[in-house]
Amino acid sequence: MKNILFLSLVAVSFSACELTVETDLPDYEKQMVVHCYPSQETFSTTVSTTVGLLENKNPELLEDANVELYENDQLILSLSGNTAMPMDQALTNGQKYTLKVTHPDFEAMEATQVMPNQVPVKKAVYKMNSGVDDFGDQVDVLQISIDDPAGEENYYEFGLFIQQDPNFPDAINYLYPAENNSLGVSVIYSDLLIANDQLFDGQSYTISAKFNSYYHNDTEKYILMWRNITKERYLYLKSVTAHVYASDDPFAEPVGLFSNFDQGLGVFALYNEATYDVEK
Amino acid sequence: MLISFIFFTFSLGVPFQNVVLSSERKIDQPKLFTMYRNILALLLLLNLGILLPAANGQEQKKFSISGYVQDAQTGEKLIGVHVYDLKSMKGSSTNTYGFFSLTLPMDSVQLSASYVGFQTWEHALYLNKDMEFNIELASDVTLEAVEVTADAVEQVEEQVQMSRISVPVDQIKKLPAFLGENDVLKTLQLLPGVQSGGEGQSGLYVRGGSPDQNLILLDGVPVYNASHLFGFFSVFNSDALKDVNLVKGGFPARYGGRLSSVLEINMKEGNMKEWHGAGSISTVASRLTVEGPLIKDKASILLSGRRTYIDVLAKPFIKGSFNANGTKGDAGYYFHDFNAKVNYKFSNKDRLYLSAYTGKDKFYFREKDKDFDYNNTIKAGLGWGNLTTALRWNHLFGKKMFSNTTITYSRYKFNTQAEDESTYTENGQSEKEVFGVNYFAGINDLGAKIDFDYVPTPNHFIRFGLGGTYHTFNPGKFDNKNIIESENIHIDTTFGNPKVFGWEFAAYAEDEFSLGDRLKVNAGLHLSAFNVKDSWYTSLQPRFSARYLLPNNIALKASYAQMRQYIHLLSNEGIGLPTDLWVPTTNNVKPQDSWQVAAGLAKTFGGKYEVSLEGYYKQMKRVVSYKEGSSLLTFSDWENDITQGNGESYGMEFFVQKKKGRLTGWIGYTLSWTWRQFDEVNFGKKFPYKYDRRHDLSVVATYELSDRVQLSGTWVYGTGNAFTLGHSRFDAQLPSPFGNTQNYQVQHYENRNNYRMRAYHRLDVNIDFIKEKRWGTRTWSFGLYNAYSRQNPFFLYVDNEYAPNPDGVGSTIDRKLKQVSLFPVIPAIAYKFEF
Repeated sequence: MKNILFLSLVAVSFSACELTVETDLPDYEKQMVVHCYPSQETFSTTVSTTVGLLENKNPELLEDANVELYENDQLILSLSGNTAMPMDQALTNGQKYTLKVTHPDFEAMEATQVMPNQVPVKKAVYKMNSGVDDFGDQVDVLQISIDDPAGEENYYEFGLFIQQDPNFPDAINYLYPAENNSLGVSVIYSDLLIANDQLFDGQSYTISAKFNSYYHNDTEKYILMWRNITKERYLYLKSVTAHVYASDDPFAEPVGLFSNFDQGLGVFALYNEATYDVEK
Repeated sequence: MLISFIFFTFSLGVPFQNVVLSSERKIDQPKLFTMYRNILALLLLLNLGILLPAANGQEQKKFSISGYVQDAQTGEKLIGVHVYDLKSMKGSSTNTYGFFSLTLPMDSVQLSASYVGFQTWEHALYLNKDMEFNIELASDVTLEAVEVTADAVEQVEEQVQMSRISVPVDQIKKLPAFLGENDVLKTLQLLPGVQSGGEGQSGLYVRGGSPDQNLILLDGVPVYNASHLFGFFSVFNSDALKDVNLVKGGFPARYGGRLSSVLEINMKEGNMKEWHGAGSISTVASRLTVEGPLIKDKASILLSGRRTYIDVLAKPFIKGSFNANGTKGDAGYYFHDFNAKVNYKFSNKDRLYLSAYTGKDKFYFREKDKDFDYNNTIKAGLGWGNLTTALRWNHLFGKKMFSNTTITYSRYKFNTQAEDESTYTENGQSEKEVFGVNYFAGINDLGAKIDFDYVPTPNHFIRFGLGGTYHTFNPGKFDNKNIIESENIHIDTTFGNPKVFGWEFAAYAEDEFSLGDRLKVNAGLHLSAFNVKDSWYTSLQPRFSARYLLPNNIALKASYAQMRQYIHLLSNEGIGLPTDLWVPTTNNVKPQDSWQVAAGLAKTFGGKYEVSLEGYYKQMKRVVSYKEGSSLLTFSDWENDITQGNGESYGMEFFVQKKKGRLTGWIGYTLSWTWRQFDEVNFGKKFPYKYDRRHDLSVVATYELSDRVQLSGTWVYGTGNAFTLGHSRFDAQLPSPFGNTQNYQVQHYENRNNYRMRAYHRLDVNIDFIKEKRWGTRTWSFGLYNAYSRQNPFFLYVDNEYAPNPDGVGSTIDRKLKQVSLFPVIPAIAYKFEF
């Protein structure tokens, strides 16, 4: 009997309990959320709203928002939110573009971007079976040689594709930095790697990315999609990637989400794209 | 004036240069040497302050009285005993080793030594030569007051040092204990300016600092992980301890290496007179301590051990659980500690101490599954532990100078492993598959130092010394094993962070001196240097404390201290996980710096109530934090995972303590603000530190109902911890390579730590029934932790509950914010004995 009492005491001692807290959350005001990644061919914007953390509904699209794109303060395009239209004129390198989004229920949102210049790739090489990763798995390496412009912050985004069918290129999944993790990050579920030039500003540099050898094929043609992106695009993609990973990890530090809008959330981000054949 | 001569010789011909007080530049060794010479030159100036009064007073001969003060019953040296001349009221206090030295003019002297709990010792003599006294204080059974103060007799208004508190181990043993295990660190959390991290945690957050900013010394050796069982218990077994001192500001120059606090814990030396023992059996652990003379009055030994036995008690149930699943196995957890100390008195001038501590936590899991053609064994384990050793040599140089030379070794290591081994048998042929990982990390220190106490006159107490430590950091390595015989795969790789080696040096000098009857000052300099690879970092840190006695014996105190820290703890800031990594300053990670000013008033009312009020402001530079998104579970290069920024803390602490009578205890209140700012966190904006706590209140009381019954209780209240919680959700859109996009639902918050958990409060109570037996004393102790079962928050999360729609089509998500509380009311029983 004494033993039973003793063990019961031990069990009680280590019992944890869970309490559902009915509590006020921090003051929250519904905000407009805008995502706009215009390409040279198409202009589209997604306008939605936030919902409260504990609200039992999903974020909603705002169909009646007004979206305007300005080039050097001249209106060049106007449409309602959540629609797409072909670009009448190409976005020009070095020019300033401003996105203004208005809706009667929300404060107007505005963000400005300068179209980045193209930093050409001198050479792109695909090296098969170039070693093993930390877990002993075979990896291939993609090497991209560029002359990084000196004295300016440059941001790059790239992906590798197998051109089996010209209409349906197949992306290589999960590229990640081969040598130095501070080079950049692999964007979550997007087959893209984003990098900054902090390590090689103004230098001729070869960016190396690794991926699992599972994908390699001697006979296929490989294409490099190479983008010069704005700092805001880099920061947004990086923060969302880190945020999504952290939300699944109880030991991760919380990640704040970047936005280049003053009065709302989301991002307006430009990029300059080119494709290159990859040498094997 | 040997010391003056040494300083003068070193300083001779050295022109004063502009001294850089704090440097993060790499410097060459000649420059380092120049800085050493500069500090020595400054010390010469300090010495002039001693020489000049001596010159003025040449006409009157002076002699020294020196010796040790010890407990007459045990031979244990007593720390902080006030030894003074009742006629002139000049006095001194014993140091950590019980040594005192008092220099007085040739005259009749009424020497007195007093200490709470002991009878006052008095002796009249005519001082006409240097004299030695080894004073033995007899226990005063009529005085049973319990105190928490720096010096049992020297009142708070007499002390020049502020922000320092000593906690008698007897006091710790009388307070309510979590699961019956008295805990030093949890008692310290009840003091103003010191707070706990969370429910049940033994980590210390001192004046806005992080846990790595506390230097925890056990017999002078750093202890790197002071926690058992994820922080619910500390590694210090109270039966083996002699005294506990915490300094949280106004650091004298002898302390260095951390920004926020120094916690000095000294083990008992062992009874020199006769054999004694003590122990306890509590809900989760048992402990036993024995001590006694190896050679009476010459050598003694102390041995102390503690072990939990949850694993032993639960073993039958766990085995039964495996059997029910058709497998064989075992699983459990335990921790143990072992302390040992030997000391040998060669003569009145020389004494040697050898002390050691080792402790370990271990989780283990083993499971075997066997079939006629299949064998599977899964093994997993998690273990961590400290080993500290110290060899100390006390030596007296004449009557006025005491030295302590220490050689130390400290090791902390963490290891976790998991292995899954399977063997398949087919047609008489066996093939094996093994998958395993083994992760290990830790730190090793080998150090040596020499400290001097020099008491040239009653008005000066000089301390100086130097030391060096060789650090070996192991910031995490993985062994990965992958064997598949059928596919001829044999992979056994090791990856992770390589070991880093560093040298840390420190030198200091300080003088505590009086300027008239009202002003008392402690001034000093602390020089430190750190070498890692080919980089040197140095820092010269001025320290200053002063006490001015206002009318009505109210002490006005002020202090200034600069501190530097070269090693950092990468911690998740939550529970005290053993995976927290100690890492060094490197070329990329710079040392942490701080400066702190404090001012306050102190007074004792009616000899019973000690009251102090202190305000402080502390700035910290280059404090370390994980970057946003970094996780303990990503074992990448640690230098890439961290960022450095600034910290700021300010506040006010109020402490009132009743020291005598049947009812004793204290009330401590802290009002504080603590901030952090990192360029790479929260978009560079300042945010409240997770343990920013506006109000922190502790009420502690013990009441002696009779000689055989004693009650005690503690009540704590603290503002809820800051916590990052999104207040809204939205769909973040990410571009894909071919122009289409993908949405991910994310949480949005304006600022890091934007939300406050519910306030924390808790009442613990305890009752002791004490009985004298033929063989000694036994105590039955009954306690309740969290007596009114407050559900205090441990962490919060958003729970998505899916409820089917009434029409049976699809489901609806019901989102709720849930709080996990760890401990409801928890009873504890302990049987304690002393013989």
